[in-house]
Amino acid sequence: MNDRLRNTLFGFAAALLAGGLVAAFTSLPTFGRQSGAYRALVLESMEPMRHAQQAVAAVTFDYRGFDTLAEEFILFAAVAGGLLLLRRQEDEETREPTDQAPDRAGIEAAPAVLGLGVVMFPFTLLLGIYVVLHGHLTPGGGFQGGVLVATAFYYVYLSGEYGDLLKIKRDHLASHLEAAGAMSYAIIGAIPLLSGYHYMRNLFPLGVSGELLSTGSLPLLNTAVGIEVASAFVLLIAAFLRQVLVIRREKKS
Amino acid sequence: MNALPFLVVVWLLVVGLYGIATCRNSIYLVSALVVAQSSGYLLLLSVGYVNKGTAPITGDIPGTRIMVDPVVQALTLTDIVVGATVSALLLALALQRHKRSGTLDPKSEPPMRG
Repeated sequence: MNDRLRNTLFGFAAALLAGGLVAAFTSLPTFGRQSGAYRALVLESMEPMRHAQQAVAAVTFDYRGFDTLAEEFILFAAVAGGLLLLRRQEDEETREPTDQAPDRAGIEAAPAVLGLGVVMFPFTLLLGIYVVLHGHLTPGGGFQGGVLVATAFYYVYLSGEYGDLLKIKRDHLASHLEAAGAMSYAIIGAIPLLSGYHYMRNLFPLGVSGELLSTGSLPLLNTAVGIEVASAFVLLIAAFLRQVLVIRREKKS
Repeated sequence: MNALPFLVVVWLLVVGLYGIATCRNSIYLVSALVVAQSSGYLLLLSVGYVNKGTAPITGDIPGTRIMVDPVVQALTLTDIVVGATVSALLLALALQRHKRSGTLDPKSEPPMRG
């Protein structure tokens, strides 16, 4: 198929799709006037039934907790696949990163860049942990906070200390934490089965609305997801970095 | 004006698909896929929006305020993070392919090896 035929075919198909979508959207309720049944149901029931104040977290980890389990394992599978592809292949070898231009002076990170990394690392880490732990009270949660925690380690890379990230490889703590985070979500969901309830039923004490330890299993699930997401993103950056710096194609000699 | 969010959704989806159909570089392909994917987020959030609605958090906001639909927001937030890792997987695929065949063009023959 040549480019021209492909583009013509795509033009027709895209115009058809766009027309169909516009026609479908015109029969949706007017923008801003929607009244989905679940919106009212969740907003009315979350405080009396779950002592929850943050509806998005309540939906993610309670009303739709089982779907989030599946989404969490999509993330796990995608990261596992990515790490599998970024391993050293059989025709490659690993070498310590070497200076490619020894005749030139080494590029040292400027003190300002290094200082910024030193300052930003603890604060980003702290902010990430805060967002994970308060996910059921304020905007945030395991998914967002996990990415923030991982961002702290990206500052290590940005400030030029990427040698530290190269130490993250097989059997590093981060890979165990990732698996433990994914597993503990499934296990927390399975605890109610022991008492004869259905999977993911929120059996933990609901506590006082608005306090850190409230809404039953929500903080636990948030923490499990936060640990998994954070270590997944740290593992990914370490794997891409190894790919660039350490893994070399073997010389065919 | 009321149709604007939905028109933007259609535009983002078609532009993303155009990028996927015509690009000559796998990395652009992943970017185009992300653009097409973001139309889904916009559609979900527009479906859940209520006029003058505020964030669905009852803690600090008086209960008399109208709140937007939290269900679609939950769908969007999980997908953003999951989508990022799926992009990483696709980029890893592109990288391995470039190492095997020396090309990033998705239209060239895929590398075959016994």
